[in-house]
Amino acid sequence: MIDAYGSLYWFYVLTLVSLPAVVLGLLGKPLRAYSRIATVLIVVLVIGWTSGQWLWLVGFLVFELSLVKGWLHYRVGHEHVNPWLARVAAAGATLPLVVIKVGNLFPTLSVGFLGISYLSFRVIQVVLEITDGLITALPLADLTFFVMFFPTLASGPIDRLRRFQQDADRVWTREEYGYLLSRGLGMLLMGAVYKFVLAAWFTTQLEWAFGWPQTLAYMYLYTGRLFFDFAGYSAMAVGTSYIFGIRTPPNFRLPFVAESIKDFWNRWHITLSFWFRDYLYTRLAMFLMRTKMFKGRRVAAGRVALALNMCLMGAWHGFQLHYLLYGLYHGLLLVGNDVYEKKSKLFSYRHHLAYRLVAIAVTFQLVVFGFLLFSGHILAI
Amino acid sequence: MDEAQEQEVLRLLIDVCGTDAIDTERDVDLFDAGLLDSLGVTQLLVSFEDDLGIKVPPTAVERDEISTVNRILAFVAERL
Repeated sequence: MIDAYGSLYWFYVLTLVSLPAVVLGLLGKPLRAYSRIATVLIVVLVIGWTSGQWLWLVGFLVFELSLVKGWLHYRVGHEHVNPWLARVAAAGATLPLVVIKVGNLFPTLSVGFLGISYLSFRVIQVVLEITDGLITALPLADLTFFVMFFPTLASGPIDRLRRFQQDADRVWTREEYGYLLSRGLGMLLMGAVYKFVLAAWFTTQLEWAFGWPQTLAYMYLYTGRLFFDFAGYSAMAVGTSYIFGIRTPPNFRLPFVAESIKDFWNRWHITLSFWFRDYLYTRLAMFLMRTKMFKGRRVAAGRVALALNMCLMGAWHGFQLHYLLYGLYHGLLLVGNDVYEKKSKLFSYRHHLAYRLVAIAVTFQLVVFGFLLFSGHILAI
Repeated sequence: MDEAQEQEVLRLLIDVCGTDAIDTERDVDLFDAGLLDSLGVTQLLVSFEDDLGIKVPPTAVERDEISTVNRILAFVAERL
């Protein structure tokens, strides 16, 4: 198995596989068919013929794709959805992820495969949008391509099916493709600098920062490494997508100038945060707002949903204590932020420069402390 | 959309955004101004459905479509 965007072998294979796409694109020809071939090729090369991950991947795909196709068939034939069936379909799509996350608690078991979380997110999204009647036709090949699209296979960003389809079916003109290619290459270069220069530097600095006295330094250095490593990966994944004609949405937008925790989640791991917002938070909040318990207290229902949403986001990283704490921490911060915005007079100064500078500094401190929790470092000392 | 319905939507918005200043500033971007967020959008969606009978799945709404008071009014008018 090779490390996506992490090894020379990957870049060697990537270059070879990308060249035909670049030629087709610059000639103004459709990329659709070749992108699918490239995805199959890379999946074979990344996961490797011999590794036991194959069984998991094939099992996962057969299960999830049958579920989506079955659900779509039911949904198209019924104007009114049975809400319990809809819940079963959504739970079914989530089941493999839960099985694997629980399996990961036992280090001796080797369950799952690279990218399972991100593949699950794509499938769950499709199931929910079928329920909502937003997706009414979906050929198996298109669905598989969306779920398996190789540039974003390992760790996202998480695209949306309806957006992805528009790009995948489009034939770009020479000029348009030239623009996509130059942006794609630019992002690949930026991502490489982030990951191989900056994240690598932070990693070397982390070695001495172990133990209580150095925890403060560790907190900042770990944040630096986490950001440059993942933002670097993400930029390279987005850049590669562009080369294949797919404008995968970005994952980061200057997260460290966020002026509140809420603002931070619009800038950090954006596609994950928005996935949770659209497919979990909003639905959970709407459900709670209609329950007897929260009758006439919609804001309270929204806050409970917000806290639960972030707890689940933490748990998605793994069921280990430090991830659960990380989720809870951000849940409480977001609820606290909402109370502050609605109650405090101070918030009316939010457009003043001084307020904004202080807000950026405070938010940054809250965020780096969150990453210290996330790292598991304090629990390990 | 008649006058009463427009007033109803405005009342909902003032309630969600927590200020009646939005009534006069109908083209201000509510997200940028910090007046509307995910929680506010969710409250609006529930209100649209329960009070106005407009059912919109959460992912069928683009934020651009509901970023100002005028856009929200147009969004509702289209679906009534």
